[in-house]
Amino acid sequence: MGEPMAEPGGKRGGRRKCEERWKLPERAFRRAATSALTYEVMRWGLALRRVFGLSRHSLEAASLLAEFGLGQVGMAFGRGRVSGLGRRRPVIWTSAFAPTELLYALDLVPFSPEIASAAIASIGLSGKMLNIAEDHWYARDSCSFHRCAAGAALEGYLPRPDALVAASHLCDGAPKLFGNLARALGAEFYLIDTPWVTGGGAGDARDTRDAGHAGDAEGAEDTEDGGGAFRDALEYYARQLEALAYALAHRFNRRVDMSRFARAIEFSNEARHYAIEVNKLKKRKPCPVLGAEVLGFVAALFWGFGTRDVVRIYKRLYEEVLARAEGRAEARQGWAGKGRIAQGDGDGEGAPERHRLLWMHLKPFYPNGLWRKMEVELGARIVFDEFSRIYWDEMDPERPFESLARKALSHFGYGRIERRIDAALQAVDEYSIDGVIHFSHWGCRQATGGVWAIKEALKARGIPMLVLDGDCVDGRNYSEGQVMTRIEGFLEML
Amino acid sequence: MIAAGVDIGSLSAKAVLLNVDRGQILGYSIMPTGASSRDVAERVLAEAARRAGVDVGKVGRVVATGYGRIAVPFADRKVTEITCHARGAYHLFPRTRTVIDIGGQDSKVIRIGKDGRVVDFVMNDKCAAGTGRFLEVMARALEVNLEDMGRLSGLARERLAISSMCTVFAESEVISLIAEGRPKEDIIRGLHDAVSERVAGMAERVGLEDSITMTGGVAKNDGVVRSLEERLGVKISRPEEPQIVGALGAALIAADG
Ligand code: SF4
Repeated sequence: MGEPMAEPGGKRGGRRKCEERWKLPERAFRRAATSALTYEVMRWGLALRRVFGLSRHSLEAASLLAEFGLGQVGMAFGRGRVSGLGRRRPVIWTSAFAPTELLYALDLVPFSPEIASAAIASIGLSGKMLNIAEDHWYARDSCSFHRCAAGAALEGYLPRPDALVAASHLCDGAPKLFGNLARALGAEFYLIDTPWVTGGGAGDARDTRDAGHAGDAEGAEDTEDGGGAFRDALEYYARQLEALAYALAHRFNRRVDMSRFARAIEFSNEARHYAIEVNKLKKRKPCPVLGAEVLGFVAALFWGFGTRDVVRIYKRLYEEVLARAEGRAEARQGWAGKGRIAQGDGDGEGAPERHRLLWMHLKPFYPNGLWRKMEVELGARIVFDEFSRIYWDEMDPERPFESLARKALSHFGYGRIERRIDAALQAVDEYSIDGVIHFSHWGCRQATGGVWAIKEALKARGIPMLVLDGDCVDGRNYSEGQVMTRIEGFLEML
Repeated sequence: MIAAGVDIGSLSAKAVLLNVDRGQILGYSIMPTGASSRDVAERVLAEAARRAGVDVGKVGRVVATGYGRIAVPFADRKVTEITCHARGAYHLFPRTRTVIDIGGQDSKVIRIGKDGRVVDFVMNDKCAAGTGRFLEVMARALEVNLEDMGRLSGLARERLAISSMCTVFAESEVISLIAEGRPKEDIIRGLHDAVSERVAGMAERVGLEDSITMTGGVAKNDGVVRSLEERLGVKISRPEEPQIVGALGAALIAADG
């Protein structure tokens, strides 16, 4: 693991690169990579660089996020103790969309293998982990976020879990992988079964938009798949979360303290508030922040909601983006801290904003030159990405389980494809998008299954969409020239 | 003024010189790309100039396209082959709404609007199926000349199906068909059908619209074109020299200034 949020700057990904980079003997590397101390030292290093203004992140918030990630990983490897200090806290592996708020409220340490895969890819080691997983019969057509994590887990590169929690939310593969790994690693497995009845939330274009107001969730319940069914689903989900909280508390000797739950929900609400404010700023022309700078914040979404740290991260992000938008002198600019990105016509090193793009699904995490080329050289800015969308309503700290259930069920990607389409169309309007790129990650059935319907809906609005086939984690087949030709061809078309 | 388009593909490099005022092609050349895109770019342009009977120094603007476009140091602009093929095909056949381009390592289907602008496109994924390379490998396995394949498939009597899309597996399929004593002509026709099936699938994705122009080296192969016409149920226009359409489009863009 390294800096999960590192901005990719190199030219080519894949195995060769990772072998060139890591000349350390295997054993020494593994020891370093699995020691809490390594991550603590790295975290301190980042923090010091940030404080002294030497950070290579163009946004301080990105550095804070990386520090948070390293802190969490250090904690997980220290079995809940940072550098051997403090009391031991159990490590719980969670899939994306499992409610981290619940785990933080129970004073457990969540660890996300999927984010670990992204981080492993960003330091050029995913090829190695994927090979290991494939040697263990993980099929090559499965999602590489999972395959890479499986390889790393089997090789002992990930912190040992005390339990695993997966939600059957969005992703079809996660519960299977988590169940499988639980068996292989001898830990307990908990499944949160997500019913196929959705509704409410800001993700529903029928009642709200992303811009902050909570939306009429009650109204949505009446229209979305029938009110009664939705209420049942909500109840079913909330009861599962409650049962999970008690089961984990019992298993790990914790108390279900409602005031702690309320606090986690309040933190989550606060982070949500700042995330929405950041999104509002992205609507400005030109967009004050590059997609490459903020696409990695999806890690905070999947890993950190419910903590004070993530509130701080989003607050800082908001302040920095606002400073840029207002053209204040103290605003840090640029591409990985180097040079200014153009805010107006030709006032920076890069090209001014020529196109405003919406990115759908996740990005490639292995080192690549796509971002620099697209956003800086060609002026095609990723103004908004699907996962930046704040799709859920503000939560009620007094009713944590129901609130979290409501949050889960209001995701635009869950349920009928129309919800995802509505969310995309809404983003097109709100962020003045002139083109959409869907990164069809190999093996991700949930994201790629609806591409045709999305393309048709966008076409009806006169918005072109490029479907880029690729892989977010597996750089072994990545060919920059081929991908760039498609992207450039698309930009020429706009 | 004289404008030039240079198209560095994976297998062959092409250059076209254009008289800007009269919109007339002065000369062109085609040669294998070889190992160095940089060297071939210069050579192919020089050769086109020699054939056109003009001095290379007289060439005003140059637009580079194709896979090796980044390696053309003297280009004023770099434009993707998607835009260039559309432009070239539209110039030659203004009624074109769909361009099917099958080159050495890429095949693509481009839809263009009434004004000649690209509306949508798809390209093959990282796989040789449905490309010139696929046919090249098969020609070698069959011990026939690539150029003869079109003519030979016209002599086929039976419809043979090649079921593998994968180049390696298709090659062994071809070898076992030879061993079974199937006539080469039938096998070649089967191969052409395999290519056209793949490409027709891509055309389906962008939504095929009449009229259709085919470009790229494989457009010279009558067998593939015939098979595509049958499958799509339409007539396909072909330029006299389909290989230079990308370079022509690049030259036209260069002429725009
Ligand atoms: S990319 Fe798709 S398949 Fe992979 S973890 Fe995410 S949702 Fe699941």
